[in-house]
Amino acid sequence: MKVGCLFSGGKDSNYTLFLAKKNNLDIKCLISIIPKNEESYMFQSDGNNFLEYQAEALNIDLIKQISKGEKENELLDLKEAIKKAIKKYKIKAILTGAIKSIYQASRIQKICDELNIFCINPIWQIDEEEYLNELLKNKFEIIILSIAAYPLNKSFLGEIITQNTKLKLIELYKKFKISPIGEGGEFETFILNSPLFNKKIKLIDFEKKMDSENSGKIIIKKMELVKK
Amino acid sequence: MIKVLIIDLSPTKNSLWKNEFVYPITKLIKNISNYTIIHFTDLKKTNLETFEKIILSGSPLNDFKAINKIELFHWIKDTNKPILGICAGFQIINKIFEEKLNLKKLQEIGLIEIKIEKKNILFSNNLKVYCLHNKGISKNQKIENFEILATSKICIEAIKHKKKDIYGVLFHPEVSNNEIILNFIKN
Repeated sequence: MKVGCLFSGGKDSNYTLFLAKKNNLDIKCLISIIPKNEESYMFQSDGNNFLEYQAEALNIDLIKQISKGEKENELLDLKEAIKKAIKKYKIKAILTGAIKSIYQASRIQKICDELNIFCINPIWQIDEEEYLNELLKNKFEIIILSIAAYPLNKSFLGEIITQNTKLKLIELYKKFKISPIGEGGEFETFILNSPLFNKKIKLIDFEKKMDSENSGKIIIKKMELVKK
Repeated sequence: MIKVLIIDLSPTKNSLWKNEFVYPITKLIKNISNYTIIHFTDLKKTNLETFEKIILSGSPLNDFKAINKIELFHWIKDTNKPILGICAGFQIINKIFEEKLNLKKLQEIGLIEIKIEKKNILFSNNLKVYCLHNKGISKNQKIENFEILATSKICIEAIKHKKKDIYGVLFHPEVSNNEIILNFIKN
């Protein structure tokens, strides 16, 4: 089946692609909505300027749609982008990396229904600890791009998620109930390497910008694709 | 541990819809049951007698492959095993017992409020449930073989067979209100 994948460059959409490839789906395109509003209800706003690096490493076409990031209007932008993918690539289904957000999942389901295509959510309700284990086992190189919850602090920014980070995140979940996979918006990620990448991404220059003690992000200045 | 059969109603075997509609159920019951998953196309090869309880999973929106193979599900009429049908499973259970019933185009997607109509073992209050369906049974429609356990503004949302331990929920308790699945397994 020909499919398009909603793509943010983070761990969830990249792991979804990995499962789709294992399931022999024909991935025709990545679809990214670029919200101008950092507080978008639906879409990740960090790392969007660098999605082309991942698309090139994956060797999959990328459809980028700019959105003002306003509550319901951004759904119209998403629908437009999916329409383009249907027209250009004849896709029959949309893949998403939705895990827990009923808000997000039900809105995408409605759009797919209106456009008469299927929606596939391969990591829907996945066990959070098992998911982290799978990401590490399959050698996804995941960098923490932004944080937005106590007690995450500047030291987490730019950290590559390792077994040690996983243990720290699970400990924080036990103490403070923050999701160890950032499902409540506690942190966002960017993938530097995945089993599907032909090349890996090397982060050359970035700076950490903090808004408060527990909220901040990485401003990426330069990255490049290098041999794996 | 109790032996549970989960019947995957996704349109194709071992598809990623199994991750979406079956694995969330297994996540809930893995510590309290010994479960087996089969795809509905393998029903003829399966000895249902070896299981104590049966769950029929949901399937993606606008997929009707399983319900269009209704002949694979006639055993539901003859068995005395407790069954819980979720969404597509609810539709199949109705189709088996209410032969004249036509499912109507009644879309509910997202969180929906449902009102409890009859005391039952699965839930005891009005609930907000996750729905993902385009077809259902109108709230005002008469069904002969089932008690109505809950309704939304437009649909019958939960039923129990009048004589058997066969339950159906049109919504998805594997997503929210997980205790419904646990209550089905434990009671």
